[in-house]
Amino acid sequence: MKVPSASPPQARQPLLATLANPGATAAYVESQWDLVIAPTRNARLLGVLAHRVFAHVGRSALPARVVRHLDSALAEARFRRQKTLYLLHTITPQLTGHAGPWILLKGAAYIAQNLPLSQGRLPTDVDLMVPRTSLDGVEQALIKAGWEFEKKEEYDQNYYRAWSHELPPMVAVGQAMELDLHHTILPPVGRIKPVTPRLFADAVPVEGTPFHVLCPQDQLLHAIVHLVHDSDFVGRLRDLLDIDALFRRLPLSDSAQRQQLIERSRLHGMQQPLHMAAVMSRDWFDTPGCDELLLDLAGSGASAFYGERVIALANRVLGPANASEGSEGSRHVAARLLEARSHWLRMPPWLLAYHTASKGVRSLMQRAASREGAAAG
Amino acid sequence: MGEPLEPPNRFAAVSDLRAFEFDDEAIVFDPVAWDTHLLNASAIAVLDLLVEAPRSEADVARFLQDVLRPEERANAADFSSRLIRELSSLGLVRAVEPSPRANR
Amino acid sequence: MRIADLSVDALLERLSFSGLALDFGAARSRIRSSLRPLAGMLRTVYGGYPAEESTGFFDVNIELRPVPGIRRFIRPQCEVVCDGVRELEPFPLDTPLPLLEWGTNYGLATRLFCYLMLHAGVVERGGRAIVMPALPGSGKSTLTAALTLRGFRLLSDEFGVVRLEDSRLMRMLRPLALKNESIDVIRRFDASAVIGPSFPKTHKGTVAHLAPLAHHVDARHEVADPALVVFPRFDASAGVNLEPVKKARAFARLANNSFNYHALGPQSFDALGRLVEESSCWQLQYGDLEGAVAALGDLLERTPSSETLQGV
Repeated sequence: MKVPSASPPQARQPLLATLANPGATAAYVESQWDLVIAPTRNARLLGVLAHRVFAHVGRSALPARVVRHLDSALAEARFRRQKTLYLLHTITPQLTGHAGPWILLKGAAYIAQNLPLSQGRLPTDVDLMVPRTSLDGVEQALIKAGWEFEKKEEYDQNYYRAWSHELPPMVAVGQAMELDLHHTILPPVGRIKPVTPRLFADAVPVEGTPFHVLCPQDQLLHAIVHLVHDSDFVGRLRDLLDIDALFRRLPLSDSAQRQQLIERSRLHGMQQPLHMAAVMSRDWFDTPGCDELLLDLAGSGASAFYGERVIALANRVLGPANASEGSEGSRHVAARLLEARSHWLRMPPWLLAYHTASKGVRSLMQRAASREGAAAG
Repeated sequence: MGEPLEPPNRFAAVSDLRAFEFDDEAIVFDPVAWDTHLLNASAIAVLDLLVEAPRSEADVARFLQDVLRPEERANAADFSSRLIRELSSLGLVRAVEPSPRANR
Repeated sequence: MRIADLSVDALLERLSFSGLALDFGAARSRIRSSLRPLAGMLRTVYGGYPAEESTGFFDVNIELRPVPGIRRFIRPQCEVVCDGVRELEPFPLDTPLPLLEWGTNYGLATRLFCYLMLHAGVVERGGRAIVMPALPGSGKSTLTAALTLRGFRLLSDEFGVVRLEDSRLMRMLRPLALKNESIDVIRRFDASAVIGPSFPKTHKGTVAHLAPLAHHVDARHEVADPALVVFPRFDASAGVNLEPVKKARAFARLANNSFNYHALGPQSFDALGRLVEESSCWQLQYGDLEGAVAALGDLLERTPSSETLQGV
């Protein structure tokens, strides 16, 4: 019995087919590549595609013009990998003396672990989670070493510190990547409350570094809630591809692994997001084991109907936008609905009203100020 | 005055630096930070020294005595400390473990 | 057959449907548009380019279209979409060519990490290149234009495309964007120069485009050897004044004035180092355009190639 789904838009097929079957590109003519390269780049997946293609097809078998772009994406990925490692190397002295474990999240973790899924990725920031008790000390040490916050406005600072699971992004001279300091993986006022002490207790050290990463089930669940619970899905195909890679890594096709994963999702209260991620990963990437997982999850409290409506909206916005296609209107509507949903999930209703109202008031004040400025000038 | 209680800090160049030398200046590439730097003659001289082997500030000052002009030699200690600090802040040089005591 | 040999109607047909293919040398673009005036403009400034098939793979796909919606009755605008993404602010509807050129430059500058892309004008003679970094006040475009009208062949007005494996200069031939007074200066410099329409309302003032010569376009797949790096500075009161520049300084200024030096790490370090090693580096202060062109010609003559120096 297959759980019904809404499938990815037709226009995404060249991109998905090429990702799934990179060896077939040996037979691609240039006009086929023409349909693949730009959307893949817009999805920020060109480096991943390049890595997969070159693993199956020799450079000389591909059109030189296309190889240029694949090589360009790999060059960008190399730059970001290097800058990620450099950032970690530079902040290690600032972490020393503050209780760990210091846990790398998402892209920085995949790079530090040298996972295959890190090849060709294009991260923009480094996510680091430290125990709540160490957060203030680490923050001070970083500031003393020249790091500063991008968002200096008091309102934004208060919002992050009071309600969120992370500090505002930090930047430093000479660092190409931003640093996001976390103390847990989801906003503490949100609707899902992960068991943070277990995230820390079960973290796994990365050999040869002073850092840890989440255990494999937590790493996967984090990737899942990051997309399904903490985002509006817009343009986030690469996040779903990470989830597919992490499913395959377990591997999900192994029934013991599935059981462990389901138990872990129960611990953290993440069955619903796990259900949604399994449906989407299966629909977009044919991930082995997803159908079995959905059967195993059935009756565990995950509401299939609610999930389906969100998934149908998400499928419309997940892939890269294309301003030359005519479908912008419906994508725009779906994006608005999903944005509202992601706010809803992050905060309780009374806080949501305050947040939205404040933003409205602030932007009105800014517009008034600039009108005044223009009149005076 | 007695023996110093601690052996002096030593400094070494970061490994795998690459350089193009042009007359009395050089362009140096730091393969960890992926940064590129323009160095003048005295900075190159000190960096070269620290590529060869780790040295203390005093060693560098003694070396600079030989290459500085007579009127500058009195300031060798000052220059050496300043150059090492600048090269460190650029990430081209770092402090290393002090050398083991000779009489152990 | 060249683009100038096509009728405006035939051009418009290509633009409206399969797209117009343009080969710059190191990259190709495909342009789609329904704006009729654009067809005539392209015929002028791209006249020397071959009329090629627009099937296949293109490095950058540009669509230039009117901005839809209510605005088009009040203040009509056009926008450029580069590979499906709107990157730049719209322009007035009667200024499509500058927007197309800037949109294309943006696309080329941001996706080609397979080359070291300097921000410079580059010309060559006898296969030996002069790289002129584009700094404000340099008059780089005017000088590049003048050189191409006096026997130097154009590689590019915007992009110094350096091949990573051997530091040869590749061509990225595009129409040269002339601004304000330069437009008349170049018209006086060579009455036969083909210059497109002037657009007075851009944020850089009045802009017009000099069409590359047909035989320069024909050479678009040839590479050139580095020979001179020249930092131009326009100064109306100066005659012509050449001063040597220390190579390490030239390296630093080239790197800081590039599109992607920092992202390429050790590869761009090696490629730029090799280029600077093989080049003689100068600062050119000039108020007299003819004099500057002659001086650069002389300088190139007098500068032995690096092969000669190595006794190869």
